[in-house]
Amino acid sequence: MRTFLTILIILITTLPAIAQTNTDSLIIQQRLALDAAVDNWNEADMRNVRATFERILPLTDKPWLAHYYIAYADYNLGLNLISQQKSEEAEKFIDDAVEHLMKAIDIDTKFAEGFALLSTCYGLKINFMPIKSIYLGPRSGVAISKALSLAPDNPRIHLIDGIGKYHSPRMFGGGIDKAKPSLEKAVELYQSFKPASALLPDWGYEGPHVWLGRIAMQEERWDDAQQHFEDALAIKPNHGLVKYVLLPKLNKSRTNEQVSR
Amino acid sequence: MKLKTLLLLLLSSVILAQSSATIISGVVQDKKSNPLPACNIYLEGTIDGAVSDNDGYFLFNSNSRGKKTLICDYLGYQSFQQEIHLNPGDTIRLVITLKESSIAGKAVTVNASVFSSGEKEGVTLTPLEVVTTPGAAADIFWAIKTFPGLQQVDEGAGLFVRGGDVTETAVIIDGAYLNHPYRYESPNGGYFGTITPFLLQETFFSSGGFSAEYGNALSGALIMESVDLPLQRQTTIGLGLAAASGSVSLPVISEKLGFSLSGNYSDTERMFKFNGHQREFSRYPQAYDLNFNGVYRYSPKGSFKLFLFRESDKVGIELQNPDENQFYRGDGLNNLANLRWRHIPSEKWYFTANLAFSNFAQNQNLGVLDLTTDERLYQARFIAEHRPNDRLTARVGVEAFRNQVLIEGQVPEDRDDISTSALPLRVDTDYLSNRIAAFLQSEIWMLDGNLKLTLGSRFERDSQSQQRLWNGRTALSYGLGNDWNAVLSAGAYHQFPRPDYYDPYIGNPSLQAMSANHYIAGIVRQTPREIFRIEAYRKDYDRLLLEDAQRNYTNNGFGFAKGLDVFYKRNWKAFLGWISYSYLDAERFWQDAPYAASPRFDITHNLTAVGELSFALRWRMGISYRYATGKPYTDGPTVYHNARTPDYHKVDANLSYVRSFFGNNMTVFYLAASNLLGRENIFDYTYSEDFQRRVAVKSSMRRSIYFGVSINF
Repeated sequence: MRTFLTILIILITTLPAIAQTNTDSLIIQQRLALDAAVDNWNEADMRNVRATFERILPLTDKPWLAHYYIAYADYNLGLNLISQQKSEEAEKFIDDAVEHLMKAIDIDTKFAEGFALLSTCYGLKINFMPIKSIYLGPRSGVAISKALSLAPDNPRIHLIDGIGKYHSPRMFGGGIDKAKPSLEKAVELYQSFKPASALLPDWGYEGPHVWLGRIAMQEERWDDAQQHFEDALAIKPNHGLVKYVLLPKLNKSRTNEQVSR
Repeated sequence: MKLKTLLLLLLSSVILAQSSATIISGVVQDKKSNPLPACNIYLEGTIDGAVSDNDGYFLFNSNSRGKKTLICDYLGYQSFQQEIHLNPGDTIRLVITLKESSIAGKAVTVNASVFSSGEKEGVTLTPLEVVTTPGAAADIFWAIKTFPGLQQVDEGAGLFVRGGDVTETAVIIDGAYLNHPYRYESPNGGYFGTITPFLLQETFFSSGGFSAEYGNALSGALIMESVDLPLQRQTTIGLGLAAASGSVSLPVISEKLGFSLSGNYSDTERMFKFNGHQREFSRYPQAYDLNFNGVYRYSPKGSFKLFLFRESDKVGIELQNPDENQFYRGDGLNNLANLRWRHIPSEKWYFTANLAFSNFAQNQNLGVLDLTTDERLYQARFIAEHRPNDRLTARVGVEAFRNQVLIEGQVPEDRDDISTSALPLRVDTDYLSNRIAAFLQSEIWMLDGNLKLTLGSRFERDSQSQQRLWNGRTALSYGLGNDWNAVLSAGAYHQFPRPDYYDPYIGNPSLQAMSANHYIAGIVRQTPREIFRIEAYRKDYDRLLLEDAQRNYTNNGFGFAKGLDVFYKRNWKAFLGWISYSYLDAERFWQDAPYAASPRFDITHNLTAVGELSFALRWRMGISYRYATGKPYTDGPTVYHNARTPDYHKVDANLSYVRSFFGNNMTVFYLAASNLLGRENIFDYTYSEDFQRRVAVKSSMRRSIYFGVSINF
C-alpha cells in the first residue's frame, strides 16, 4: 500500500512538471483546485494551492493573476484560521493578502477583482484592530467604489460590497438595509454571469444567498431564510457553514419561537 | 482486469519518471528540530515543488537537470536556499532548518532612538492616537512629548531632547526646515506646534543619533510628511470652546490631481473666562492658520506637491515680577511655501527635490523692549537614492540654505533692565548667512538581513563662520530573534549660531559652529501589537555659546548629557496604553552659567503613562499621567541653578462620542479635562533684583475643561 501511495504521489507531482511550459493552463487548473479547497474548507489544500501559485508567480506572464490567487488563498486561510480561533496567525495571512493585492493592482490598474478583494481584506483587518478603523474603513470604501466603477456588472463585486455593508456600522453607511440591495443585485447578475476567460476568478455564486439568508434570519423571516439557504445548497451542496451552522440555527430559532407561542 | 491495466500503466509511468526525473525529498524543521508544516519547497525558475506535511516531510520530483537552486519559504521565517545537482534517477534527501526572521519576514529596519507616527505597521503612534492622546490637545508636539527622551520643561510644546535645548531640535516638513515651528513663541519653544496633525501622513521623531541626511541640529530631529493625494471628497467642520475650523479634501482627477484646504481660527477668551485663569491678559491669545496642499501626479512614477501654510497669532499676557508687573505683547506670523518633486523611475531609483521659502516675523513688546524680527529662510535640495539590491541602499544629497534675519525696533540699553523706565537703544539691522551641505548615506544589510549597518557622512560650509565641516555618523542594528533587536549608534553633530550672533556689537564675528557627539546603545522589541525599547545614551557638547564680558559671546562653553530611556506600548483589541520613562543627568557651562551646572532642562526623572479605551463602538476614553522632577532655578545673587521647583504632576482625561445624524456623516463630540487633580504646578520663580522677594510662575489655568464637536461628511 505504501509503495502504491508513493507511486501515486510521484505521478501527481509529475503532472505540473509536464504542464510547466504553459502557465495559463496551470493557473486554470490551480484556480479550480483552490475553489475546491475553499468548498471543502480544507486548510492543507488551500496551503498547497497557495504554494503552487507562489511558484507560478515568477514564471507567468500574468503575474497579477498569480498575486490575486495567492491573496484569495490567503484570505480564505485567514477566515479558516479565525474559525479555529488562531487570530494572530490569521492576521499574518490577511496582511499578506493586502500586500499581494497591492502588487496586483499596481501591475493592472484596472483589475476590478483585485480592488474588490482588497476592500474585503481591509474590512477584515478592522476586526483584528478596531482601533484602526478610522483609516482602514475609508480605504475599504475607496477600493470597493473603484471596483464598482471598473466593473459595474460583475456580481462578485456587488457581493463583496454587500458583505462590507453588512459588517459596517450604520453610521458609516452600512447596515443590513444597505446590504440587501447589493446582495440582491449580485443574485441577479450571477444568473447570467460568465467570466471573460477561464483564467479569471469565478467564485461566490452561493454567497449572496448565504448572506441574504443571514439577514432574513436576523429579521426573523424564517421562510425566506430557509429558501435562501436551500438556494445556496443547490449551488454548493457541501457548504459547511450553511449545512452545519446556519440551517440548524434557523431550525432552533424557529422551534424556540413556536414553543414560546 | 481493470485493476491490472491500471497498475501496469502506473508502473510504466513510474519507470518513465524514474529514468528522467530526480526525486527530491526531505524534512523542514525549526532551530529546535520541531517539524514545520506548510512550507513551500521548490526549484527556482520551475514549477516543481511541494508543501511540507504536518510532520515537516515533503517529496517531489523534477525533470530539470544540472545545477538548480532549491528554495524553501515560510511566512515569518527567513527564506532558505541551497544549490543542488540534479541527475536523472537520483534521489536527493535534505534536512532544511529554517531560522525565524527578525520582523515579520523582513530585514532589520529598527533604528536607534526613532519614534514614528503614521499608518504603517509598527509605527509608534498613529494619527488617531496623536489626536486622542489625553492632554495632547490634538497637537503633534504635545503627543510626541509622551515619548521618552523629552523633558517636561514647562507646559508648552517645546521639544527639549535628552538634555538639549529646544533650539537644538530640527523640525522638517516634506524636506523643508522650519526654523520656527511653534505658535505663541517663547524662550521655551512655544505653546503649540504650528502644523496640525490632520495635515500629516507620517511623522518620525529622532531623539538622537539621526542620519547624515539631517543637519544643523545638535540634539534631535522631527521629520514630518504631509498628506498625499486625497482618496475621497471629505469635509470637516469643527467647533470648540475656543476654536472654529474647517477643511476640505477634493480629488479633482482620481489618482492624478487633488488638493486639501484647511483653516483654523482660535480665540481663547471664552475658554479662559469659562475656566478662570491665574494671570491677566491684555489680549487673550488669538490665532488663525490657513493651509493648502496640492498634489499633481503626472505619472504613476512621479508627482509634484505644493504645500502652502500661513499662521498668525497674538497674545498679551501679564508677567508677574516682584518689582513691577508687566504685560508682554507678542505678535507672530509664520509662512511656508514648499514645492516638492518626487520621481521613482524603478524599484531601484528614487529622486526628490524641493524648493522652499519660509519666514517668521515677530513683534515683541515688553517695557522698553519693542522689537520686530523677521527671519527668512530660502532652501533648495536634491536627493537621489539607489537600491541596487535588497542588501544595499545609498542616498546622496545636496542642499543650499540662505538665512536672513532683519531686526528693527528698540531694546533696553542695559540688557537686564527691561522696566518701562529703562533707556532705549534703537536698532535697525539685517544679517545674512549662506550655507551649503552635502551628504552621503548608505544602509547595508548583512547576515540574511539580520544586521543593518548605516554609514553616513555630511559636509557643510557656512559663509558667516567661513567654516568647512565634516560629520561622520554610523549605526548598527542586529536582529536577535523573537522580534528583538539591538541597536548601537554614534555620530558627530553640529549647529551654527543664528546669523545675528555674528553682529560685531551684540555678538561675535569669529564664532564657530557648536558641536555634539552622540553615543547610543539599546534593545528594541517590536511586534504589531507591542513595542518595548530601552536605550542608554551619552552626549558630549562642545564649543557652546558662552556669554563673555568683552566679546559678548565665545565658543568656550561645553557640557554633557547622559541618561536612560524606556518605552513600552501595547495594543489590545479595544485598549491601548503606553508608558515612557526617562532618566537624565546633564550639565552645561554655557550662556549665563558662571560654572558647569544643571541647565534649566536638566529634568532628572520624566514619566508619562497613557491609556485609551474604546467601548460600545461609539465611545472612546483616555487618561494620562505625567510626572517630572522639578526644574533648576537660581535663588540667590551668588549662586546658579542651586535649587529645584517642586515636582510636576498632571492628570488629564478625555472622552469622545461618535455618531451620525444623517446620511454618511460622522459627528464626534469630545470633552477634555486638563489637570484633573487641580495641582498647582510651579515652573519657575522670578525674583526681585535683590533676591528678597519672589513670584512663582505657574500655568495660566489650574483645572480646565474643553469641549467641542467635529462633523465629517
